[in-house]
Amino acid sequence: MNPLNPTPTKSQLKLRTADFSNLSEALDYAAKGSSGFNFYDGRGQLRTVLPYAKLKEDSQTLAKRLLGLKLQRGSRIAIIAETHPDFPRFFFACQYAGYTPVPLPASIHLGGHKAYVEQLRGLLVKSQAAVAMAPIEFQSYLLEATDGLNLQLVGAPQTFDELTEQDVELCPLQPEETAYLQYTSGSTLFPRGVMVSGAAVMHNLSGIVKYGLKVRDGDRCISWLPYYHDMGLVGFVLAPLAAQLSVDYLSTRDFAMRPRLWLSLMTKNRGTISFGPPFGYELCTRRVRREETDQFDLSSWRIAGVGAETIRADVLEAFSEKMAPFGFDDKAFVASYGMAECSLAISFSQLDQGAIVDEIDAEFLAERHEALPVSALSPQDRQNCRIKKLVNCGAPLPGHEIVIRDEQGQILPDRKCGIIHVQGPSVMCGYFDDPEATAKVLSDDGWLNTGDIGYMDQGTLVITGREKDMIIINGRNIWPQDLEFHAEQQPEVRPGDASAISVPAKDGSETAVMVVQYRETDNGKRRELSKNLTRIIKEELGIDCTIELVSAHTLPRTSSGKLSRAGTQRDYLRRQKEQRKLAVKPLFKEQTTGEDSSDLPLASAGQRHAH
Amino acid sequence: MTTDRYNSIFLQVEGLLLQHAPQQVPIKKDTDLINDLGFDSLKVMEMLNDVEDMFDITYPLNDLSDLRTVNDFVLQIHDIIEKN
Repeated sequence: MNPLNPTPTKSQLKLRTADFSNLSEALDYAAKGSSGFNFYDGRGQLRTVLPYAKLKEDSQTLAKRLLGLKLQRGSRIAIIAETHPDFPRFFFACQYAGYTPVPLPASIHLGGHKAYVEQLRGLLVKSQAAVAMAPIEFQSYLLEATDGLNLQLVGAPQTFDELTEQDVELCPLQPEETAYLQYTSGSTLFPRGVMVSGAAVMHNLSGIVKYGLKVRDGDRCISWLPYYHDMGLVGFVLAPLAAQLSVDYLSTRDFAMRPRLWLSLMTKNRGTISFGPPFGYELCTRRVRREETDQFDLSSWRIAGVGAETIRADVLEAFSEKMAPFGFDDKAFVASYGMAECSLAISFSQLDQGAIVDEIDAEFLAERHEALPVSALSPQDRQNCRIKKLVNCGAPLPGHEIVIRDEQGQILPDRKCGIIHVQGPSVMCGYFDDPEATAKVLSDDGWLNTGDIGYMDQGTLVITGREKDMIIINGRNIWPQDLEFHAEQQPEVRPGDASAISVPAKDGSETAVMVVQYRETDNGKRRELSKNLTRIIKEELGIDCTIELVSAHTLPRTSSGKLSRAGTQRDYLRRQKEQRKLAVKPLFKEQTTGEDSSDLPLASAGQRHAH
Repeated sequence: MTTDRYNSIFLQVEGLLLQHAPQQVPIKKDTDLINDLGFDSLKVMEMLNDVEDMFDITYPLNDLSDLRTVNDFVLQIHDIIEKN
């Protein structure tokens, strides 16, 4: 028997669509109603209920305790962002007390103890955190990570709850102050903390709830997205709170272990809004057995958002095909585009339309950087051309503008591919304590270079790839520099001898490849190095990485002598193609035909284009 | 832990590993989950689901960070069962 009841879907308040001046004001209003956050465990049981009223009360109490630390206003408070009621409590305590919360990853990989501690340490140093909190299960990692760092206070929630409550008037963070620091990549070596002001995030939240999702009475959110990810934090903690919606949470780990819990929760609580990266939908399609789908009723799901990595039309089709018998309507798919540097959201596709797919000539796009609709081709050309299906991410949020520029900065017309630039009130103030990195992406007049490649089509955006070298695996951003660093730590590998790239897999997803220059010809030693590198990368980053050993002076460089990752990718694919040609035997013929470098998704074309 | 107890957990774990491992190799005590069996973050979660169901335990996420070999895994599972 479960005595707990989740917070109701109806808040009993008049719906306000995030029209608040800062986050604490949003909570003050939500606290007047009866909605809130609900936390479910790995068996799908409700464990904790946190109505907004209680969240407000608890965070204000905690804020008064934190003030006893006499930290300077705006000091960074690092919080290991596990899916647990303590996270929103600490996050909002910071809002009320005038400190900047810094959500830190709570993701642990197989055999990755050391790597996780190093990652935490890097983030604590880079964010200059004054204090750090970790849930009890993460205590030992935090203590290791803060060893010798001289933080003012490090501990579990209980440690903070033992501080003396100060008898002071709270002075919450103001709109122009930094509302939180969001570390965008899991990069241990080059973490960049996005500074988002209260005003910027409120603009984005109102854009999301009023225009992107058109939130209405009766909406209920379900989320398994991590709190340390912008979509999890801004999209499914702050946005529902700013619209007084109840949210049901599953931890990311429980979702990864039992994806069906997501669907069960949607069914049980009649969820209407839930988002995931494509791999989340894929995981459900793959892991949910057909015979158990009769337990699901997904007819209430009106917005099935998708974003965070390249959206593949086939993944969505497979999901809706499997879930259609259970009331899932593929019109619920909403493609979105965004990034932490713009608080979260930049554009949403139109509601109730489903995924709008642009079918274009892939060769033409690769060669001419232009999206030629297949419908414009003659029937004969259409038969011969390779079709690329791209999902339209919709129009920018009100107040925001998107332009596509070529590498010289010239604005390009519709359907011409170039670098996506965004301007508007949700754009970040910059990277924390990193003016150099900020200057690279943010112009004086407020244009953000997103580093992504795409084209516009009658006011809507289509993403084709990325200019920046980031590798995205299962929705996680992986920086090639991190992979290369770990290679260079090996005595056999010298700096500049490793180049990591993203390579499209046959199914359209990405895989990580690292090309390493190695002089040794002894096969045993070569195998040893490959094996070691594969293991290290799995431990450090939790991903599969293909290692290719090449002879010295193979890696291409730019005119300034830097490694050219675009060149590495091009050469790698060429070598693969040559190897396949050599390997063609009748037995394997079926596998090798029809696959050549022209099968490259546009990420690579974008990269070539951008350099 | 008695040898019998160890062997019994080992056998159950062996079955699950063989079912989920991306690379098929004979399972021994010192078989490495990453290097030898090719597990990554997602695949390991799929396997843990079965481990939890089979032993009726909740595997603490953090134990994953110190898990390398089949022996580690058997010992961890034993400890979790004991704590229950």
